[in-house]
Amino acid sequence: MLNYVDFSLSRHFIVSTEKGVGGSRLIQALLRRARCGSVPYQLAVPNPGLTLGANKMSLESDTFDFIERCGEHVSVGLVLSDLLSNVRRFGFEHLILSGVPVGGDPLEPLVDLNGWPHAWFERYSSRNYAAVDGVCRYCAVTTRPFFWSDVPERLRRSPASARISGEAAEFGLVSGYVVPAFSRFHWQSVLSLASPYRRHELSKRELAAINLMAGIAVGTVESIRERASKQKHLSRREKETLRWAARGKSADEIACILSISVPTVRKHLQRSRETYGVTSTLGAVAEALRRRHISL
Amino acid sequence: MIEAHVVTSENLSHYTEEWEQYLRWRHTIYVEEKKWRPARADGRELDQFDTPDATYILGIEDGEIVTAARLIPTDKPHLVSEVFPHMCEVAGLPRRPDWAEWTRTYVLPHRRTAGRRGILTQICCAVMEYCLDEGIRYAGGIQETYFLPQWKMLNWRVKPLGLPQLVDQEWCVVAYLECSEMALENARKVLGTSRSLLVRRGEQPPFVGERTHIKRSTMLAAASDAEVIA
Repeated sequence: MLNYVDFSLSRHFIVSTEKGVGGSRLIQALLRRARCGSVPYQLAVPNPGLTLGANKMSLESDTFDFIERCGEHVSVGLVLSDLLSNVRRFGFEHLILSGVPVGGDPLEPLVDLNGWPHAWFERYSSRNYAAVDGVCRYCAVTTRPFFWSDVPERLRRSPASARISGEAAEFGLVSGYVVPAFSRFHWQSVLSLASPYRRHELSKRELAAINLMAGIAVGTVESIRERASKQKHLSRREKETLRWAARGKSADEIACILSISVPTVRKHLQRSRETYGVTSTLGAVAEALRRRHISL
Repeated sequence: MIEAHVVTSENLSHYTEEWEQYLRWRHTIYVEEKKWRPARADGRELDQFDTPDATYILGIEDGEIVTAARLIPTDKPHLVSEVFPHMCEVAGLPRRPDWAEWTRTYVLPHRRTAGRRGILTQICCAVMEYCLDEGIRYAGGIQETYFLPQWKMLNWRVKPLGLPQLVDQEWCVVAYLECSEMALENARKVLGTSRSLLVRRGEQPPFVGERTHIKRSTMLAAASDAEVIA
């Protein structure tokens, strides 16, 4: 029977069973079952005997290798997979890197890296959970990293928030850790990491490594997005048209408001869609808002 | 756009009034606002790193100081070498004349904006320009981990020297920025300018290399002179 799963080691999970320490394939199988609830499991406190010398250095070299690679990543997808493989060593399975929604803003246009289970993200954004989820609301008011369990009671214990965290757990997001970071595009950005385990023991060094990777990842993602959109500027008229479209006006109405012809309005909207490489005006509005090319 | 005046102990006499203003703002920000330092009766903030080895970039707009930066060669005592040497455990403590520690950068409270073209970007651009002029290869120091992304947003290469640690309950990290023409160009692009922000008056000793020795008291004296004049 599985007794301890130790996440204090940076590279491998070590599982002690009655038959001794297991290999990684066995461990993954056990972890999968543990997550399904068929095997009782417990997180162990960091094992001091196993975190000396080599492992300590590997934590640092892994972190600094990640930082080095961030200088070369050309797409946000590469940053996401690199970041995911790094945080898995700390027991995190899912991550999202996003601007923090404030004032009831929808989450979706703010997301920079999405490593959440697809179905969970769908549900979370379509039902606008961001507005009531205690973790998400706390993201808007603190600049310091925190565990989900550190979110103040009054935010975490509201019925809606408690229900959301119950649902999150069903998707394998049981506990988590959030690192806020400065952003020039959003109110602020956060890297939110989720784990399928109830308790998470991370040493200060491990937290430090995560905090550092978060800061670098946020900057890298924003600079990649910036580069990608460098040549993509809307003209003044295109922005104006898109701003009215964002308020739900039809092409006819916009033509009337701006005293221009309907075909001209359509041409402006078409150009906006092309600029952002999206197929709908709604998509163009979302991109323009996210990049702050227009505001409402 | 700011005029970024390069001030050292050798041309301080050109800047007596601005110097006084600068120290008073430092007191307002580092003593009263951030509470990093104990209050001083004379209302000026000075620390042990305000020596003739330090170079100051004073950002002036319409005759008023709105921002500033202090650069110290890392082969001389500096904040990280004296107080936080344990935070460079991965890359090692820098001790080279062409690595400059960059400290005491602030923007006056009423001039702070979230915009990318704000005063903060202007002083960063001026510091980068000065570093390239003087052959400084890296500039940096201790900073809050929270603010790390701002460098990448200027498309500057960041080189952390160790893992972050908690300093007064905030996660901080020692990180340096690579000085390059590309970095300057990127900052200028953000600001939408191609011209120099630096202004140099009077004697300009090289940053990298020996300086004539001037007593630290000169700087304090210059500050008191300003008070007498005022």
